Amino acid sequence: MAVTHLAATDRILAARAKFSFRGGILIPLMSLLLIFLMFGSLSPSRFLTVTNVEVILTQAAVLAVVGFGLTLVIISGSIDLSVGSVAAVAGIIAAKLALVLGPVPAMLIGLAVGGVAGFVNGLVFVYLRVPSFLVTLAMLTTARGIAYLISDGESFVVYGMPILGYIGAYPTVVFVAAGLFLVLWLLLNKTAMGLYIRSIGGSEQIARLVGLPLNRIKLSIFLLSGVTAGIGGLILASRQGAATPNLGTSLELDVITAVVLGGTPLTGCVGNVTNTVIGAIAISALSNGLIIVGLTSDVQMIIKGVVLILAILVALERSKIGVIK
Amino acid sequence: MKDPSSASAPVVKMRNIEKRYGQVTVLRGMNLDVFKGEAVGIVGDNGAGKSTLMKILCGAVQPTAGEIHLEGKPVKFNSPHEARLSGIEIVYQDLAVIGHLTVTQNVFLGREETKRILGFKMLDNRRMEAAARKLIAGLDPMLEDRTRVSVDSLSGGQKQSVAVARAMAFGPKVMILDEPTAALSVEKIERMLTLIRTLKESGLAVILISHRLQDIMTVCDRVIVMKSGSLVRDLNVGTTDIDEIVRLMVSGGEMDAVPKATGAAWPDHAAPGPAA
Repeated sequence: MAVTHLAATDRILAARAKFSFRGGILIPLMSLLLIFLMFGSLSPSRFLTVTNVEVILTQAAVLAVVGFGLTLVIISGSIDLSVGSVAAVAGIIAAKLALVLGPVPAMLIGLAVGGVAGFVNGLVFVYLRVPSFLVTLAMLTTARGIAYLISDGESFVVYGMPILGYIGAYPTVVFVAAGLFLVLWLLLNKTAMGLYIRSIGGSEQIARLVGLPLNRIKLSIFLLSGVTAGIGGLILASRQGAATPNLGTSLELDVITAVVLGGTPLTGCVGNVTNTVIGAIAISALSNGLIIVGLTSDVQMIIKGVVLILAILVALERSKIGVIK
Repeated sequence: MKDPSSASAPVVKMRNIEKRYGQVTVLRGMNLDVFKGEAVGIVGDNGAGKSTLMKILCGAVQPTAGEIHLEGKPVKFNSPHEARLSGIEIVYQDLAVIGHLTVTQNVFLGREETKRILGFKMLDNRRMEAAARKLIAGLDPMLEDRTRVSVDSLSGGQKQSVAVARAMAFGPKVMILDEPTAALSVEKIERMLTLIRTLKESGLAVILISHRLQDIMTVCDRVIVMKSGSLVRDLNVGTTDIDEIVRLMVSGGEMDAVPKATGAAWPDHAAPGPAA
């Protein structure tokens, strides 16, 4: 009797966890639906067309790809603010080298550049013990500076990058995002590494006492976040047809909003890449809808800022934060 | 040696352990022996050095000087991980479990069972689940069917059971319990003490740090009294009482140095340290 009673309470707990904004998927899904309903009713003839939904999904793929790496960083309790600038450096270097080396080697080098930037973030964070938001804030401006330096202020036309284009009827980027999703979902949910990432976000002290290889894990996730930012930069550059030094400016804001709105709180441990997919589509639809209903870019910025702070407010685990600074 | 298993060599032998932080000496010339199948209580006022001594034994802190022998072999632990691999487990009072992870994930944290799928090492959740159920059923029957829930939804005592389960999961030789009863209700304390008896009967060397002297008198075979980073006395529980232990904790043994028969008033400097 007691056992069935317990099982029932646990079922309720499990159901509550699913509905919860933190790590749960239902509230993010509802906000996504709300965004579609709102713009769908405001401007049905332009928002709810096949072409526009495709535009939304393609844009969401960029946010999702960059967001997947960032999701792991956030689950581990840290943050990476440098993703937009790292994307720019990777995109510009790849575009510049594509002229000399051809598209495929240039893309691989672009990814490596993203990885190096992420690794540097990780090294400073882990070994010099600088908080991640400061390290990556510094990288945000450093990488942007490097992007301007190598481009000399010019933009580079992107030639024949295979990341652009279609496979069958669907844009290639959607397949890239889907493949990356699968790999990172497995990593986060089915391997010990994923559990360790959550453990660090849950309690770094316990993770250390249990003997988890903290430095190796942190370095790996920042490296990974650099690589996914690099992939994002390649997609952005390919889609524009040109790599400009201001590529991906304030991309970090959209990506962080996508991750948090998806239900991965900044307090760490909970959340998933699945949530980030939903958050990315929601933010992409929001940006798209705001343009379609004809709001100017300044108003769009204000609205996105409000959405970010709302998402954080709902998702934050205040019990976990003793002191707010 | 007064302990029952003095014929055999100690499982843990710590010799001349010293720990300095800059100018501050936390431990000086500390010795400790713990034998198989016995429970040793370590008592002392705050700052006596008991926690530091245990952190050294479990690899969380490295000693400035001194030696540790485990089953007769000299060992040196650079991290808690190395100590765990050698069979030394510690259960901390407050730093025990990660709230959002499930019972099973907490029990296996750092030592997950894996299986290879297409060459990749993936978690073997089914095997861990079964093992965790079996382990936890022996500790806390109420938890047997709750291995998949997140630890957040458990009570303080249940969380402690999960922490103990993690410590027991890989057949340790030495189990250190740091204030295991501090956060528990009276009824849960009884269960914890029973558990400690079971642990030592199964052949483990148990070290118990506790402020509750009555717990130590109930389950331990020996009591180590520490003060200011040194050993005051190694007492056999059967031949001492709480009064004597408290007296030694406060005085650091100085009072015993003066023959009682004289009945003379103690000079103030003979009883150093705060009495409170």
